[in-house]
Amino acid sequence: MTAVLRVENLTVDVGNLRIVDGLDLELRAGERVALVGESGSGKSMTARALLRLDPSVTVGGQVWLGDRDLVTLSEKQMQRVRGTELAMVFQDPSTALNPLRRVGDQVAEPLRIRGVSRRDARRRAAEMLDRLGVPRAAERLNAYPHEFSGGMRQRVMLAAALITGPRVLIADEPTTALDVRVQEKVLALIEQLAAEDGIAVLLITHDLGIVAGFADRVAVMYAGRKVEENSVETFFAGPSHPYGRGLLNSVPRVDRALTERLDTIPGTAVKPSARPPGCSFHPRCSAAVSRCSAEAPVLVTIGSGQVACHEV
Amino acid sequence: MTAMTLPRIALPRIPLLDRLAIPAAALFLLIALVGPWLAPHDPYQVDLSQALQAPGPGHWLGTDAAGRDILSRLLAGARTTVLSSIVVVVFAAVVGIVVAALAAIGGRWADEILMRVCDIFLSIPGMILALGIAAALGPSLRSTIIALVVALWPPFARLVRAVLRETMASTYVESARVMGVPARRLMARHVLPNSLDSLYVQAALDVSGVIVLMSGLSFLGVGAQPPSADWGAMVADGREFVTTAWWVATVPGIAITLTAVVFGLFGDALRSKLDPTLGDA
Amino acid sequence: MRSDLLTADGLTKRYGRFTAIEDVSFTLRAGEVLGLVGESGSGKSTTVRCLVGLTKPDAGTVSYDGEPLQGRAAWHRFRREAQMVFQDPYASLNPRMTVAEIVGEGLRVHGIERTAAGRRARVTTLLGQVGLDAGDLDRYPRSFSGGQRQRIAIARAIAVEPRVLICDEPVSALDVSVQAQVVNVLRDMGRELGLSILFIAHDLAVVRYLCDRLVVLDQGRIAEQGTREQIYDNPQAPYTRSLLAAVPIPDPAAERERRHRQKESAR
Repeated sequence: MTAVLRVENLTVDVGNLRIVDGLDLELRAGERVALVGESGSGKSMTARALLRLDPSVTVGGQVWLGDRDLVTLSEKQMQRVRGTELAMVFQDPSTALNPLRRVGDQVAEPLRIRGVSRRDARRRAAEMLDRLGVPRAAERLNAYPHEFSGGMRQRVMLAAALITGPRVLIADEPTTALDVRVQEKVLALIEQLAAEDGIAVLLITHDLGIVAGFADRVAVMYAGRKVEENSVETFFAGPSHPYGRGLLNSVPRVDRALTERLDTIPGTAVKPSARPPGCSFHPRCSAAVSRCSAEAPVLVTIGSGQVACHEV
Repeated sequence: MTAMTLPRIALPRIPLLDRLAIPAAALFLLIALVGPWLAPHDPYQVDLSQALQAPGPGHWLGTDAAGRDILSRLLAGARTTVLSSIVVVVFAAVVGIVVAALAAIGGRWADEILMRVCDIFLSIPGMILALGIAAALGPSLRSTIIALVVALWPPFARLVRAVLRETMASTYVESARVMGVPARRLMARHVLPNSLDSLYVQAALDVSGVIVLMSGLSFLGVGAQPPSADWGAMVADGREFVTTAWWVATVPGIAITLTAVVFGLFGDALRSKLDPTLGDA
Repeated sequence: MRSDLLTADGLTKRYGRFTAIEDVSFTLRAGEVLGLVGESGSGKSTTVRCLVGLTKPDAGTVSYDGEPLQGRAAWHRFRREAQMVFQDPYASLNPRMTVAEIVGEGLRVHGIERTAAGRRARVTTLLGQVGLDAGDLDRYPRSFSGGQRQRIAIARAIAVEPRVLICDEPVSALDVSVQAQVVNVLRDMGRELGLSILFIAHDLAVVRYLCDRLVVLDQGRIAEQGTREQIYDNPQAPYTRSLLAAVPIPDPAAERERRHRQKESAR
């Protein structure tokens, strides 16, 4: 299958600081890819850069949506892409919605901007909310965000993102602020709608638990670079990069016998401003050899995946 | 919630103004301090032969009805106007902070009583209250200062209380409380240091307003008395000659406006420096 | 049987018509780690605030070491012997105090170390215990990462040699690898110092790892309490069961099966 979104050598600079350094990523139609990393890894910056949300950052490389390179589009053309072909939902549904506007208007807005009549837009908003499991959707179009719970607000956000029928949905930690039971429902809804409408989903998260159930593929970022990409089966069977292994081992699990201590990755994540020479991860890596501090490893293909590590 | 009794000059935010405001305020302060020594003439020397001279080579900003050099009087008056405004704000701020801190650590009753007292003062417009007090104490610079402190501490106390409450609700203050840090230390080490930034800003902004109020009181005749050089009094003196000798009233008027603007900008500059949430994006 | 150290008895708190907690009773026994779990809005935070005196309950009492927490003397003792670690390490440290001042403050206000030099020496040792070093003494909180800040908060809490540590979601704002480090530090400190820990959390996987017993809160009421084995192996309350069933598992096959079961049972 062909890629709907192909990211090539993406760089994101804030001032003269390189936050994302040469990221390649591909999303095929209907595919669900998780971009995993800890705070400061550049995963959220990547998501925002794909939509060019921050005018003050410099985005380099190419972002191909079909046959257009989003990096070269004008701001006006980009506005048309956002919300129609490339949609995004954010972590905190309570701040991402305008508290003073009715929910129905906010969901219908992307359609209204594109010239759909008020009646049609509202009807489609109600349908979308209904598909997302908002009870009595048609009646609640006139409600305000504060009348909704956190999980319901995230559904409203999703409805606004999906109402124009985008090809790609970027979900930046969409369930981090939600309770587990609500999180599960929201993820199931994203999964279902993406499958029905053939939407490719890029899930940005730090939670490996939800990745296992949701994604087809995983890309792991560390200090602004992709260090590993694999199918979920391969990744969870045993990540190839020591960082991915460390991450997976530090997750406490309810399905395993209790151990004396949780495995940890020693040290703290490096900041993009203080990237060590060679492999960024080598100061924290138990498998590091002298070569790791001298030479940055390149991504090599292993089986169906890719790993950037001298030791594999 | 803070009642604004002070005139507040709102200006657009221009980065260049921010950068200029701090040195400009410093310059005005310097002039206020050394002004009398810069004066080219004796500001109190009456010379009727020189009365109402237009601005020119001998007297750059002209002379008044008594033939006194206006530039010299402006420089001499800078001390009265600017320094006493700062004194007013410092005293009002100290009273306000003490009252608010007492309200904050004294429990609900202390808070209730102190804030109702504030409300009583706030219910009377600041200018009228100050005018009444100054008149009752007898017109003089000292009574103007006292009057303005009395009129100004309540809004300050209100503001400080709001800021203190916000700081007190922060997690680090709660964690200190849970650890058993006593009330006085809690206030001194945790609450006040983290609240003062917005108070500095308010104080700087208030200087600007107080300059206008002080000049207003002098203009009305309850402030500094003749023959002392006071900007408000100078404007009042020039009233009769507005049509014939415009500079007598206009020049000190411009001085008041300019000084008020500079301190207003200084307050804004301070705010954007201290308040990370307003950052320069 | 271990002795009762901290007891909540019938705690109730209402805000207007909204009942935040109702009749919440449980006991933290000496030397154990007790987990207080529930979703947002379950009343976990209100319960903790009532326990430590940040909120006054409408009904119910808190007892410490067999005595009701009433009067200055009782509270004074409690303030020294029970310490707290908060959720947000970015908000819980005074931004204008150095690490030495933050960690040393308890030593100072409780008169444990009266000299500055003595406090500095103690703080250095404490920082070592939580995995920071003496070079950090004079730095301000802003120069630390979330995980390091939480270590500072733990050092501050254990500085006064408390008997009870109350941890309000101490790892939920942290990244996984850092979370694991902090959980290990808490566990080690608890054992080394013989602390009794009340651990408030929503992440049942973390709680399972740390806690001997659990109290499950649902909408302000206790749904169930029991030992770790009872709760995880044989949960009684439907609420506990649904919480446990929703915990994601980082294993695609197991996760698929778990979600399949979830869908079946929803039908």
